[in-house]
Amino acid sequence: MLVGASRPARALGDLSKFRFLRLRLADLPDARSSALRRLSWEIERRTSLVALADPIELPISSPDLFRYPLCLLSGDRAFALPPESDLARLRRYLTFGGCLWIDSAEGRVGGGFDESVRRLLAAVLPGDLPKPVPDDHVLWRSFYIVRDAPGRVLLPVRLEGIERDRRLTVVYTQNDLCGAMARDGFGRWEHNVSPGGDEQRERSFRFAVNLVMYALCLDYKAEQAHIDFIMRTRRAQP
Amino acid sequence: MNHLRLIADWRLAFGTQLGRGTMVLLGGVALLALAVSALSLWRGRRRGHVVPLLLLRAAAIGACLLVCLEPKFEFSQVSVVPNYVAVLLDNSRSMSVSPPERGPTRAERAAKIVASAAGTFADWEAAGHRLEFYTFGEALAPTTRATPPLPKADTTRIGEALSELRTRFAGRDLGAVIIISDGIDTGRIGRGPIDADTRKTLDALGAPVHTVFVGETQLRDLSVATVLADDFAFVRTPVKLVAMLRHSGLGGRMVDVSLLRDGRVVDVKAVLLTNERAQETVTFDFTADHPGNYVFEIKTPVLTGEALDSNNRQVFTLKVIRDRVRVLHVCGRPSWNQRFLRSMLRLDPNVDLVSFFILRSDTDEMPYGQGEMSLIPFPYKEIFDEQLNSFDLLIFDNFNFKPYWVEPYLPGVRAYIEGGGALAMVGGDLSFASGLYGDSALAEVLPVDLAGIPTDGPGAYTTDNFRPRLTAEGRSHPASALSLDARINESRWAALPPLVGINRVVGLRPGARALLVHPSQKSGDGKPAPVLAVSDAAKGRTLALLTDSAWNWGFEAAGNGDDGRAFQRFWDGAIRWLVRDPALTLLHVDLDKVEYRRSQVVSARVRALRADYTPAAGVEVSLELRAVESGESGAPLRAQKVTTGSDGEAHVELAGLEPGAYRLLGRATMDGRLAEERATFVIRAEGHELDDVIARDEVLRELASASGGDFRAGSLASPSVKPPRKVRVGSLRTVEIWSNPLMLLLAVALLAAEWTLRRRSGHA
Repeated sequence: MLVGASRPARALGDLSKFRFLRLRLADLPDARSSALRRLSWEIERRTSLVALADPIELPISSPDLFRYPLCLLSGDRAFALPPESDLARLRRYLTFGGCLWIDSAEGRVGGGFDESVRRLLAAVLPGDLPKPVPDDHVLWRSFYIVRDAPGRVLLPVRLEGIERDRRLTVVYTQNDLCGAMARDGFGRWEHNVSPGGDEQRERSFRFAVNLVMYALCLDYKAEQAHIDFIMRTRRAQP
Repeated sequence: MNHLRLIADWRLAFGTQLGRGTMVLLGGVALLALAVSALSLWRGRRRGHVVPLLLLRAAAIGACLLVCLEPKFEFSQVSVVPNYVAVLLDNSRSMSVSPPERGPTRAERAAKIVASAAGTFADWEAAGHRLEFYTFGEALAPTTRATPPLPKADTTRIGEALSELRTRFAGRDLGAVIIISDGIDTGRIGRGPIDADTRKTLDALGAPVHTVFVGETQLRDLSVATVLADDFAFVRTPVKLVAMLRHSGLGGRMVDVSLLRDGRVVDVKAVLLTNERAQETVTFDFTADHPGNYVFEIKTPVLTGEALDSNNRQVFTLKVIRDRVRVLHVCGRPSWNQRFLRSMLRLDPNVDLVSFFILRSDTDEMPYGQGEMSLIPFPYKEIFDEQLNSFDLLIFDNFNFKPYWVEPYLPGVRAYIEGGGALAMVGGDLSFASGLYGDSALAEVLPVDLAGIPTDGPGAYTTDNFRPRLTAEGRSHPASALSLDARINESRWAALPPLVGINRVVGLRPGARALLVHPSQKSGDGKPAPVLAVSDAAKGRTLALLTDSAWNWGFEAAGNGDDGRAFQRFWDGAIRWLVRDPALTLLHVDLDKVEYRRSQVVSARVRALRADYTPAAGVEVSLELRAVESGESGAPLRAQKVTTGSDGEAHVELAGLEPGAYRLLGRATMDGRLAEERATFVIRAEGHELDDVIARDEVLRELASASGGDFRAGSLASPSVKPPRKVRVGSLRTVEIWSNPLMLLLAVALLAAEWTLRRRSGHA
């Protein structure tokens, strides 16, 4: 929804604000530690969302895990399968409304991280294998109208996800989306984006904004009123 | 009881054991013998004494027959069983029709026919017939000839009346049946032809049925004959209400046909009446915004010279039920609270969800063109002006109206609520006082008072962690019922994760109730600060949830080992309460049907339930009966109190109600709370009697023809009546003619005389 005015962002406590959570696994360091902070800033700048700038990193076993319904699992290497208790907790997290965003920073298809992720998902959500997200999924138009999910790289892979209860509970980006958004303390991009350069970086941000908006609004943009308007504006374009 | 008149009587009988056929054969043989004899005499050569000879032979043959047939005279006393002439007078409401020139009604003309037939009746009585008078409409009822029938019956059942007459006269003789009627039958015969049952009845009556037609050659009338409408409809689903108009003598007139709901005109259609068509169809489209029992009326104006003005309207009911709760979810900013609420509502098969979320403002940066975004302009006019009434529930979820040009529409939102809609306002930094609702048109319908509360900062809202406390009111309220068991409910609330921050308020508005309160924070009036409050707003309801962290009751609770359903249960109960889900009503007033005929008794069942929905015994319920068109002010038509029994029920019967639409209102105080329930019903006056008041003689003609009676129009004349039946009741004396010796001598003498005369005359 687009409107013509705004006001300073406030909230009834931090719980009312959006905050990124990164899952902390023992053998999986954060390869893109500045990315979520940059994404929070961009979300504040581009949307009406009120977000805390600093992400939080918690282990799956944390009692505070369920305060953050969107969590990121990112890395650039293989990792060990968490203990069964953590798997059960992560399963409960996803079952009761949580959303897991997995971002591979490996920059290649079929690396160790990818193998670990698929093993993890098979253990957490047995029977629900990641599948390509269809082209008509509302994720592609939850804020921006986007057609792909690029990142630092642009691999020949499709965006994958696991849908349960008519919502994507898992979204798996393999183009190092966080790598395209990471920025150092001096304001410089930490990684070059190829092959599309800045234009691809902007597309990466747009997809990331869509991902957050989808996590918050679900299939809101699939409601008929929105579809009708989008179709009308598209027809009106030369 | 029959009164028998005895008279002396005699008759000729035959004592022979011969059968009837044999006796006929003997008679035939005798005639043949006589004929042969006559022929031989006629062709003989001698012509003398032919006639005397033939007479003697005939006498002799007759004497022989007497001997064979053994005739005898039987003398006895007989009684004449008087039979009855039953005069049936139509007393249905169609008999109240007057001709266009305003002469006497059909009923008055029928009474005149009876009066003018006094001479005929006297003749019949003198001839041994007895007269009984009846009226018929819905049923056969005895009357007298001196009592003119009042046209008040709601139906005309000629066939059924004849059946009843047959039952009444079982064992008694009917000489004739006279029916005086306008021929409008609304029973099993209808417009004819007469049915098999009626034909059997006519045969069983064994008497002619004479019919006298009382009608007009010309009539002006317009009636709403029939309304075709379903018994129930769904909210927001268009239904067609079809009225069939019948008219006579009004060709060329244009009339306005009005559809009224609860006494207010909701639609008018113009209809041209033509001489070519006696019936016109008018269709109204109606879409109900809210569930309930609607009372409709379709009526036409009463035109000059109309035969009847009471058939120009039809009242009927339509029960509107909700198939799904239609929810409009307007959110000022994406949040987890909004997300979990949407997640729950969109999966609920009983909810039809429409959402509008403010995803960005024009102060947010837009690096590229608007066309690259999927956002749409906020359709505030469409939502709040055009479509609002199509929703059962409006949720303002941390929504501030000011920046979005919604303020001019807030009076309409208030009217929507007060007219039966519902509003749930969810807290946040854009809501309640911070959303400037304290000075808005909605201030008066919210459960909380916001006057003077700052719009920002600590005076506007808190940011502390707290566990809300269930109030006494909240322990039994559907909106705060996580469990039907009060103790479990309380423990469930106590075990939920803490909330974060509340919107500050001055206090509750008059009539509002706090269901959850802050354990330590006070509102402006010094009382515990409300966290969840509810209120009635005229016909609508409002709910205030003064926090945006209620999603903790679901997701975070699930992380703590809870079943994670508290958030869903809370909203499920809240929505059902807000939209007045009948299942949540603790007091029920149920009728066995919604439309009654005037003679029927309205049977109402009153049920009272406790907060846990078990039967509530010993509850005193005040019942008031009111006409729908008079609203709920003023003195009720009837009032009484009933007390529920051990099964939580009480039963009431209402009889003797005049035609019209009524509302039965029940009120009871249960667990300190007032519960109200209404049931609407219609007493139908005329049934189909006045649908078409144009007299028709076809059925009367057919009845007369099928029974051997006469059909006449406007007068009785002198129809035939079967003679009374005679029954032998006195002593019997028999004189046997054949057994007299003189009879035998007579036969011998006749034969001798014939022989002598024949010989002397020279015959062979």
